Order: sequence, then structure tokens, then C-alpha cells
Amino acid sequence: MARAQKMYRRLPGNAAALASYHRLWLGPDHLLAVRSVGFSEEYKRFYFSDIQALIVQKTDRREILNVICALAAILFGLLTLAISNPVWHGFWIILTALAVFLLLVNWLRGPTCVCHVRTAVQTEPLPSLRRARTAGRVTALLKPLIEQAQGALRPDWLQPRPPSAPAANATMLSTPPVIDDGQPPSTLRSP
Amino acid sequence: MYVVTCTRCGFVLDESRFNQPDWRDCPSCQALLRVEVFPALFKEAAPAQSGHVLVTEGEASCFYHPHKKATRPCDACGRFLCALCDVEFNDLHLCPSCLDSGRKKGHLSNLDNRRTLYDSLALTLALTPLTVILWPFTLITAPAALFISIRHWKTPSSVVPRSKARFVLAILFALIQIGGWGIGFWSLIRS
Repeated sequence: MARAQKMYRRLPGNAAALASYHRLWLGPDHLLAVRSVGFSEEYKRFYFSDIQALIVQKTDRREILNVICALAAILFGLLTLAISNPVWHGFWIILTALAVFLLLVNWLRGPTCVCHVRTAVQTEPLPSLRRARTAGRVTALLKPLIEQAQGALRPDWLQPRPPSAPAANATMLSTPPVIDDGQPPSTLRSP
Repeated sequence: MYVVTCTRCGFVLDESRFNQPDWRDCPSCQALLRVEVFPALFKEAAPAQSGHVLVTEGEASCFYHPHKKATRPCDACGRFLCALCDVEFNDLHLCPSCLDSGRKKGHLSNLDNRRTLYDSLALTLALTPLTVILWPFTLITAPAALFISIRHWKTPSSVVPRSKARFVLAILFALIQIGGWGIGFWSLIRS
């Protein structure tokens, strides 16, 4: 356990589903995605030297949850006003307060997202990164580590393709970038 | 080719959307995305080595391919390996047999992709039957929890930091339950 403590550091974010729980850990040279199911854990390792891209996509889950909580709060509030029995009155007040609290928490936690990590062989989701702020923090944490493992990105690799290049959904590049890593230039490969 | 697609609709994204500080929309589905790309996206994988054919009689040959030239010994068993058999892992050069046996025996924790959490199982067995309806089952679950805790005390647990607290609690609760049954049976016999 002491060795595990030195090796891994817990990253922000977690996700709990009905039968599983997701968490991200930072290792010395890789990212560890842990999925706990029942009495077992499953691991996926993404080595920094293999990570090609981190993709964060905003979702509407926060807005949907806001609407649900707001409707629940209104419904429970109306029931609170309609019922005079003190016991049920207190019950509905508690539920109304809970709905308002959840609405507030959901709104304050910020936009929701889904995050994917892309390697040469897969594009894998990271379920524990469900909030854009958390995903941003984790990405900011990982970026220098990945750059340390792979080297810095050259600005010319991100230059837009010339107008004469094939359309956006074509599968071949017209001029492959030159990778200056001490080896002879090579053509790009398809994923 | 370095193709990065939208994770919602699969549309190929152009370079102007990579490594931007703000959200950029997908031209197809308007999903808001933040894409961080790294040099690995643009690099071609090194070609796989198949090993050089043995040309000189005095040269060492691979243990698994006698017609191929040995390039280095296995760091675990010392057998000579050709370039094809040489598996670089965790800064070690291993033969496929040692890699496989290391994985099976748990010596190579980086290859573990699944582990059973016996401490959670023991604690669940110790705690779950502690209800009004299920308490008779503690006659079976308490000894089972105790057995699992003792039997798997030294079994490798999660690869991420995890204390023995669950085992300790499981043993404690199991002993209390077993003691309760003992007192109950003794009282029954006496009366």
C-alpha cells in the first residue's frame, strides 16, 4: 500500500452509476482510469507518451437537471401551500427545500461535459470528468506531463490546410508535417 | 492521417479548433468542444522489429527463434532474445514467457487490469445481514467474513492507495456477531 501511495495521486472528479463507480488517478507515467463494479475494480492505463488528444464536449445535462429540480421545487412548493396538516406540511417543506438545494448545487457546479482521451487505437471516455470545470483542471494538470513525455507541439502542425487541400472529411493529407525528432521524416498514418 | 472527430457526430474537425482556450463549436452538430492535441497525434508508430536472420555461425541466436540473431538477454530469465521476442516493459527487456508469468503471478502490477476487492466483500458480508429481517444469516456470513478477511489479508488489493480498514472493521463486526451467537447458544444450552 505504501508503494501504491507513492505511485498514484487521485485526480478531481468522480462518477457513480447504479452498479459502478469511476475515478481517475495520476501515475508516474500514465493516467489510470478505475472502474469499480461490485467487489472488483477494472483498470485502464493511458500512458502519457501515447495520448494523442483530450476532447471535452459540453452537454445539456446541467440544464436538464435544472429544469427537473425547478419543476420538483414548484410542485412540492404548491403541495406545501395546499396542505394544512402540520405533519405533511413539514414533509413537503423539507422536500421543497431539498429540491431547491439540489437546483442550487447543480447550477453552482457549472456546465456538464463528457471527456474523451484519444490514443492510436481507441477514443475512450473518461466518465469521472462530468463537469467542465473539473475537466479543465484535469486537462491543465495533464498537459505539462504529456508534453514532458512527448515534447512540445510545433505551431506549424496546427496551421490550417491550404485551400487546395481535399475537403474536411477526406482521409488523406496533401502535405504531411515534418516531425523533427532526430529521425528521418515519415509520412503520416491513418488512425 | 491525424483525424480528430467530434465525439457527438463524428465530423472531422479542422486544426483551427485544436488547442484553443475557449469552446469551439462543431461545424456539423454545433456541439461545443475543447480539443487539446499532442505530438503523438502527428507521429508515425515505429515499425515493428522482426529480428535479423543469423548469418554468422559464431553469433548467439534467439532462444525462441534459433535462426534469428540474439540482440539482448531477458532481464528476468537470461535467455537470449531476438528483436521480435524482446518486449520492453517497465524499463525491462523481457521474453514473452516471463511477461506472461509475471502477469499471472502478479509481479507486473502494470499489467493488472482487474482486481477483486476482498476487503469490501468481507465488510459487506459482515454488515449487510445486520437488519431485523436478515440477522439469522449472520450465523453464516460472520464466519465467512472472518475467513475472507484472514485468508485474503495479504492478497494484493487495489493498485491505488487503500488501507486495511475494511478488513479490520469486517473482522471486528464478525467477531462481535460470532460472540453474540456463542452467548446465545450458551444461554440456550444452560436454560
